[in-house]
Amino acid sequence: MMSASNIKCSQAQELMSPYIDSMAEPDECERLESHLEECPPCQRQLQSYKSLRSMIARIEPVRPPADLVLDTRVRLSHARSGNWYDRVEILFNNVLKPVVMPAVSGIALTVLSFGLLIGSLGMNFRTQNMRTDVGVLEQPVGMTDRSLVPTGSSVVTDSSEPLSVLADVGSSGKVLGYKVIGGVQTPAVTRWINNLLWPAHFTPATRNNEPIPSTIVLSFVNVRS
Amino acid sequence: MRRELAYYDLEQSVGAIGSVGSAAESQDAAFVRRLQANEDAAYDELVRTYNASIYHVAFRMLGDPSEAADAVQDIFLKVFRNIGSFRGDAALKTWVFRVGLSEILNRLRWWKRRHRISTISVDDDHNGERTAYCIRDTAPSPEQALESREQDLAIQEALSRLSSDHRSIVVLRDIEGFSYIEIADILNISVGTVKSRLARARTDMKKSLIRYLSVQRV
Repeated sequence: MMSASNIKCSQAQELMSPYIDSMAEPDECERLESHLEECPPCQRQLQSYKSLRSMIARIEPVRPPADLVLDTRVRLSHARSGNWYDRVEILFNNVLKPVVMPAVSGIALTVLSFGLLIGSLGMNFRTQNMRTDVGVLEQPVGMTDRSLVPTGSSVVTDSSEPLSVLADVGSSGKVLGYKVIGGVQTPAVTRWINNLLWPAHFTPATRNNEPIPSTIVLSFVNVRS
Repeated sequence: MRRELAYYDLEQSVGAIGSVGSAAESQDAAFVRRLQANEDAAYDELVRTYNASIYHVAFRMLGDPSEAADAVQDIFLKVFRNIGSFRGDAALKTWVFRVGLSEILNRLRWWKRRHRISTISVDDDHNGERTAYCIRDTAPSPEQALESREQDLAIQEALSRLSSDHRSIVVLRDIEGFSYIEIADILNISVGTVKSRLARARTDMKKSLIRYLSVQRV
C-alpha cells in the first residue's frame, strides 16, 4: 500500500522497531505516523511490534545456581592471590583451545594417516631377518614361606593403621634389612617383625632367570595383640 | 517568554541529570579504584551486583544453564584480569557487559564450529533440573503459570534461531533494557548498526512468536 506519506508498507515496517524505542529520527516519525493514519494493516503491525517487545520484557528472570556466587568468589580469590593455574586455564580456554586444539588434532590425524599409509606400504622390511630385542624378562619376589602368614604370631598393638615394612631381599631370598614405613612402631612390633622376617625365605626376584637383590613392601592389616 | 522559560527548565533538567550522572561516574571511578587495588570487599560487591544479570544474559545467549554458569565465572575472571586497563571511557556496567558479551560470543563461536545443537526440554527449569514451575508472588493460576512457562520457552527457542549478533542485541535491549548507545558501546558497533540489526531481529522474532502476540483489529 502506498499512502499520501509517500512511503510503502515495507518502508514503514522498517521504521517501526526504532519508532517503538523512540529512536527514530523526527522526519522518520512524521512519515511513519502519516502512513499509519491511512494504513490499518501497518497499524496492526506496529501493535504486534509493541506486543512482542512487552512479551520479551516480561520473560521470567533466570535464577543463577545457588552456589554460583560462592564458586565465582573462590575462583576470583584464587586468581587474585596469584594462582597461575587459573590464569593458564583461562588463557588455554579462551585463546589456545579454539586455535591450537583443532590445529593439533589436524596435524596428529595427518601424521597418523601417513604413518598408517607408510606402514601398510611395507617399506620392504623383512622382519624375519630383523634382530628383535625381546626385552628383559623380570620376575618379582615371590612369597612361598608359610611362616609369613602371621596367624599364630602376636604383637602388642591395637592400631587400625596398616603396618607397612620396606624390606631388602637378597638374591638368596633372605631378608637383608628392613624399615618400617607406616603404622605404629613399638618395641613389641619390632620384635614381632624381627621374628617374622629374619627367618623368612622368599623366592628371589629374577632377571633373565638370574636371581637378583630387590626391595619389597609388606603391608600387614588388622595387626592385633 | 515561554520559550525562555522552556530553555531554562531544560537547562535545569540537564543540569540535574548531569549532576546525577557525574555522581554516578565518581562512584564508578571510586569503585573501579577499589577493584584495581584488589580489594576483597570490592570484588564481593562486583559479583553480588552483576552475577544475576550476567547469568541471565549468558543463559539467554547460550541456552544452557551449566554453560552459562561457567561463562559467568570466566567473565568475572576476565574483569579481574582487565580491570587495570579500564580507563573509565564507559560506565563500569557497560564495560563489564562488554567483557561478558565478548566471552559469551567467543563461546558461541567455539560451539558453532563444533555444530553443537542445543535442545530445550519443556520439563527442565532454567537450572537444568526437573522441578515444578516456580510460582510468582502474584500467585498466577496453574493455567497462567503454564502459559507463561510456554511463552518463556517459545521466546528462548525464537532467540536460539537468531544469529548470535542479532540475539545479543535483542537480549541486551529487550531483556536487559540497555539503550542503543550502551549496546553500541558493549558490542563495539555503531548506533545505526544496532538500529538495523534490532529491527531485523525483531522481525524474525515476531515471525517465530506470532501466535503469542495479541493484535487487535483496528
